[in-house]
Amino acid sequence: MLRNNNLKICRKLVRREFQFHKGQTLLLIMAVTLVCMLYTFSFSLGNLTYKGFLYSYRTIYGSDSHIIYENITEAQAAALKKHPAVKDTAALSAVGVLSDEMLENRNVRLAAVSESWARETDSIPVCGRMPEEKDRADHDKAVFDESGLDKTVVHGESGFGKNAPAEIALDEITMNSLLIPHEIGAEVPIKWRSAEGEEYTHTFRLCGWWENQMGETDSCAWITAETAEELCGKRPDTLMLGVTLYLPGDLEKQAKDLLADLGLKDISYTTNLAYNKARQDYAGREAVKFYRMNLIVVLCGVLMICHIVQLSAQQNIRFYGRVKSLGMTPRQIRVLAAQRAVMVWVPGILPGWILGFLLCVGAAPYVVVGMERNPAFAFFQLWPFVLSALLAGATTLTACLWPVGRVMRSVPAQAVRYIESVEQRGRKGRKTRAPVARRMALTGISRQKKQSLPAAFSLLLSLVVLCCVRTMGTSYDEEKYLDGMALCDYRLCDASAASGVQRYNPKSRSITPKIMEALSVHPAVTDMGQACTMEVPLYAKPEDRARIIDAFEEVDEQGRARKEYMADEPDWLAGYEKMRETGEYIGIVTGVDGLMLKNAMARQAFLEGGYDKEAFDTGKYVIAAGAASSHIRATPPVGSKVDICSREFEIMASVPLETTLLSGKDSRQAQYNITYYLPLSAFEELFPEHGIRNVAVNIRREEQKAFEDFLSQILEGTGTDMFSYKDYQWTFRNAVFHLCMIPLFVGSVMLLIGMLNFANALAVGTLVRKREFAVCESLGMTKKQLRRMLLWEGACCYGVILVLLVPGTGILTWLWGRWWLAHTNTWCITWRFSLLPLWVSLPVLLILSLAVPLYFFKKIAKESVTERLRELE
Amino acid sequence: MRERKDGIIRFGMILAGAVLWGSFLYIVWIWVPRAGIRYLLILLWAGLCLMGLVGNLLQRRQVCRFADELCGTLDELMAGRKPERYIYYEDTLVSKVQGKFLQFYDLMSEERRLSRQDKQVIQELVSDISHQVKTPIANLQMFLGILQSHDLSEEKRAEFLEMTAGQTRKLDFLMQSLIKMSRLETGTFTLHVEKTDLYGTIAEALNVIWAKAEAKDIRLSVECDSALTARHDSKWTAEALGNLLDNAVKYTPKGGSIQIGVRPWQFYTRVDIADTGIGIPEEQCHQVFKRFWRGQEAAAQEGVGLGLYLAQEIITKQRGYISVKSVVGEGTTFSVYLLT
Amino acid sequence: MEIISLHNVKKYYGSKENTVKALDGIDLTIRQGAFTAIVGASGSGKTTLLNMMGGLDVPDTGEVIVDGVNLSGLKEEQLAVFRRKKVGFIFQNYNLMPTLTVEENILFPLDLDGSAPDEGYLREIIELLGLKDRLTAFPDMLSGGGRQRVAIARALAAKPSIILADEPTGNLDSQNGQNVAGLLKMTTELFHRTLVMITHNMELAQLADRVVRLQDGRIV
Repeated sequence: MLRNNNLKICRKLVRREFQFHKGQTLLLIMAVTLVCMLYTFSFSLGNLTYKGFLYSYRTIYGSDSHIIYENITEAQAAALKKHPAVKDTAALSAVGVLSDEMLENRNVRLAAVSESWARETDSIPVCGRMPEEKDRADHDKAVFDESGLDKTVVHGESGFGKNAPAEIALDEITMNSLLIPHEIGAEVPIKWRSAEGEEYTHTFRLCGWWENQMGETDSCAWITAETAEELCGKRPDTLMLGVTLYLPGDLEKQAKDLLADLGLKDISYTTNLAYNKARQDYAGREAVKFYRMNLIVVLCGVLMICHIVQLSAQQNIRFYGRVKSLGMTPRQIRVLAAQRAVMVWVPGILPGWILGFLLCVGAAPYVVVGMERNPAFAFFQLWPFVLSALLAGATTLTACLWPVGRVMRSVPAQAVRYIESVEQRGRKGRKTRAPVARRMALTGISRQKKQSLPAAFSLLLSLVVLCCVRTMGTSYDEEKYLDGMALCDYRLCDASAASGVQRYNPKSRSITPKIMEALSVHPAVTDMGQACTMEVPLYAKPEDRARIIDAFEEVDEQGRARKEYMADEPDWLAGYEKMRETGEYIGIVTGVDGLMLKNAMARQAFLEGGYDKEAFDTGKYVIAAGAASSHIRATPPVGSKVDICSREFEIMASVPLETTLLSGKDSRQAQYNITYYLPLSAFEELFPEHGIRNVAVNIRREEQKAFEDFLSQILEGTGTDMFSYKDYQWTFRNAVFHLCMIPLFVGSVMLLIGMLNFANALAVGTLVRKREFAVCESLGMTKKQLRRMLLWEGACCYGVILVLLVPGTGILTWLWGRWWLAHTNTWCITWRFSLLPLWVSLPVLLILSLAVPLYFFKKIAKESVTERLRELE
Repeated sequence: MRERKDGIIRFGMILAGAVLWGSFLYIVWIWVPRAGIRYLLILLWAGLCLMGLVGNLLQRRQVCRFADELCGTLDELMAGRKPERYIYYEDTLVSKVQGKFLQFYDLMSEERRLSRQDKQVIQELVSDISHQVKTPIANLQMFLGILQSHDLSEEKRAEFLEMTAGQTRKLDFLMQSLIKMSRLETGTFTLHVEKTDLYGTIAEALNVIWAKAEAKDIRLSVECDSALTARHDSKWTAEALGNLLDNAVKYTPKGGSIQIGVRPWQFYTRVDIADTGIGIPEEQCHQVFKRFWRGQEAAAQEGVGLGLYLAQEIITKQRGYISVKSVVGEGTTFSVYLLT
Repeated sequence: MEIISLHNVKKYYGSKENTVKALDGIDLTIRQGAFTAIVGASGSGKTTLLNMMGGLDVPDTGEVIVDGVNLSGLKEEQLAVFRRKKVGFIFQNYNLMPTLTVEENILFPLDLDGSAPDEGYLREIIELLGLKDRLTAFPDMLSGGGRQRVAIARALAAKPSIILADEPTGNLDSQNGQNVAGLLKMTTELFHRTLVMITHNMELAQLADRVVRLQDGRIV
């Protein structure tokens, strides 16, 4: 059947409806905006979390490429590049790896410049530039271009060991580990090992460096292709090839399939961790936490729009009843309602998106930590926006179609009667006279009960959520955390021990005596200390050894020996086995003084023995530190002697090892070690030429700003890293914020919605009685009396809300808090119950409940009584 | 000509379709390297085309059905059968058009009915006229017979002649009324409704009854702003008002009064003619405007029962109306509503 | 010829104990083109009766047949189409759309039907009802009588064969009442419509061809 074409009128009606009821429309649009914002925000945040995890995996992997094939020939690389599934490739021809033992924890390849690879791994110099063939810039090009021979000749002249060394670009961690000054043009001796396993040392000239965004463990040292050729004596015949696929999926399988397609065998490859199924699943699970929050958000959104629609339901039912009685078909009514929804939905989307995105931009640095660009921009994706818009639309549509259903079920005469009954109720109220204001206020309240209850409910819900968040936020105890985590206010780290993967280079002198001196005289400093370490081969006597072996091999409650927990650390195991067999092990001899010494025994948790200051200062005693738990003593016993650099020390006490005391990593042989603390003076006697690994400083907090300025000034250019208690503070606050953010946000929006609903309910409650007020006035009530009545009404309303909210919020928050306390397993918690959001919002509610009715009454009262009486619409 | 045009357009569309297909295939062949995706694209495109085709077919079938149903309805209406009416209340185009057809059909049958009614009215009129005319003619014949056959004294003759003249006058009056009535009924004259001075019209109407009222010693009072205007035909409205006034004079006893009041309203201008006459019982209020209707109390008065009927006809034709309010024994008020 | 006929129509409201018999067995037929006035005290079921005729309400028992169609056999959508095509309703409280101008209000039933207006006819109605100058005004800028005239124009706009008027003069003073009733009678006569009007005013009822008296849901 050809449908009748009669939907134009719906559009017109909706348009007019909006022109006439601008306030309500704006409110609805605002609601949609809020809902859309909520959806956008939480979806984007979920997406961010997911992407953040993948990003961290990618950082660990060190490259953006999906698959990296190692040791393939150029022909094979070309074949791979042509494969239809491959989007792009980045080739790296490595000459060898840097073999300095200070880089033993990392893998730095000496390779010819490959722009594509550098791009994939974020290793383009930010200071200086990529190495360029010097001669190419200096000499007339034509000379080389005449024949390939010329080129080699020139190279020969500028080659190694001759006047001008070749250029190299490095990353900062490598430079710090190798104690290379941050100066363009500095001469750098580089020790490297070729693919065949031979070691060379060449001097290069530094031409640029970059900060490590990625590639803490895996990096490159760039040299020119010509230099590379020269170093090998031939063009490197193998490449590493990073492959980017069109459709990354199960990368292991894809990598194999690629090889199989090309008929290649025995080529090793690695796949990007970010595409690992298990890791993706984990990231997905983390993101789902955010999406789960969305359920509440959706509920919240539906509640809100439903409420606004429900408040105008009476008006809507009258409206639909009227058009129905004039012959509007159900189809047209449905279209009308749907168009209404669309009309508020469409203008609500864009501001909702923008607001949601802005919020996300604000929150993103706390969700994904350690990115230079704002993660919200870096991981921008379209789908959260599309999804949130669609969901907001669905929410609006449901809410708008709801009153239609009610009209559909009734015959139009009923809808008309419904209006009359409402008016009749209004008429009844008129008869009560005498001490009108108060009595009428009460009847007014009872009449508004049905409308205000949902508002009260949403208020309660939001306040409970907010109070819970507040309680949770205050209960996370920063003091406790900082006490436990930060041993001192500031810790200076030697440049070669700044990163967790760097091996501390004892030759490094980035913390200069000048710095120490400046620090020691600085007025803000209350306490300071330094720590110097040296790895020393030691020997454990058989009896001591037995005790240590016992500690590691004794089976614990879970039926596993402590040793077994270390199974995935081969270096540790090797060191341990060596000690077990021969008694030889590496001792980390640590000279400490002042604050550092205090920190080393920070919790005074001596396993054995005790600290005797005078005896310790004599330099004859050491304090041993090792792995420890309630019954494990992995150190030689107190009283036994150790022989350090042919000087004998007695062990005075034994403490658990404070892992946060020192930064950086020790050498691979020292993975299994025992630390001995001895006074700095004794250390100096043993090792007169020593650098300082860490300095601990406590300051007066009030002079913090000045001190920090001072620090950054004196540390500038030394490469020394500074780690402040504020970093811990920031980490802690960030974590707390991260935990609280979504519920805080949802709660705030809900509170806003609740307030809006409340105000709306009050406004509607005043506006619908426009005629009634007119009648009252015509019966001789003065405006003042009416106003007083409204004030009473507002006060009563507030009272009801108060009675509902205060105990409700208090009890629910308390119950939740108890439950949470019982189920959380965080150590840094002090139970602090807080209802601050409630106390803050109560005065706001009071103002609302008094001011809103008065304001709308004032608006109504502008029209004359007769005008209002006559009005039937 | 148009068919040829359609043909050309159709040919053009086929051509364009072929070109589109060709270019699509070409582009897909050249630019999409993967065979699977290439076939998928072709399949998708083919699916789209198919959907368009099916949609077109459906549209065509709908249009055919539309035409069929309309033809069916027309057939039924032509055959004089009234089709089942439920179908007109569907919210579809068919039922919209069918509804219009039905409306047209109803209008036509209504018109047929009206013209039948008109015929009947004329017949009735003829019989009424013949009936009314009968008596004076018989009287005349009688008087003439007497005058002719008998030798009468001068006095008697004069008396009979006077009676003859009276009957002739009555006949004349009757004929005048009948002519007016018939012209009104059959619509052979036109009213020239225009916004004109109401005062003049009322004065003209009063002219007719002035003498009669004087004779019966009835006070006449007129309350009318000379500036008032109403949309009416002055001549015919004066006639109608005259009839009402004549009626009032007739049924008002000696020494009574007649008040004419004019009230201008937003839509209607109301002319009240209130007398202090014998009044009309409430149940008869409906009937006073019927043709040849005379109340029992009015038997004493001369008249044929056409005055009020004519007045109503004239006023209604001008899209006004008359209403009566009356209390027996106290008086009657006729209100004439003329469009302002 | 009958256009509306009601057979034994009953409608009760309320629960068992206090049932209100709004209509208690009504049998009524209305001739096409006639002007019928329904009078009766308030609460005698006049409005319910009118609602039944217009398909706004459904009887508990009995049947309402309008122009050969039993209304109880119509679906929701058909009823809506019936209302806008067959019936022109004039409500006591006008029921104008406050958001539409006078002109749009008059055209509303036509817009609902999606049909183009018959310009000449509409101009005639608008001129007759004196709305020519107020076409762009909104209903709340008009007086009660003005609104009522708009309602009449709207009821006539879609050329329905039946006009149902529920106390069209109820909210007006007697002068305006006369005005409106006269216009209503005149326009319906002019366009050969069937008119059923509820009124309190006997003087207005007098204008009708037939007067139906209701008392306690019965015709007396």
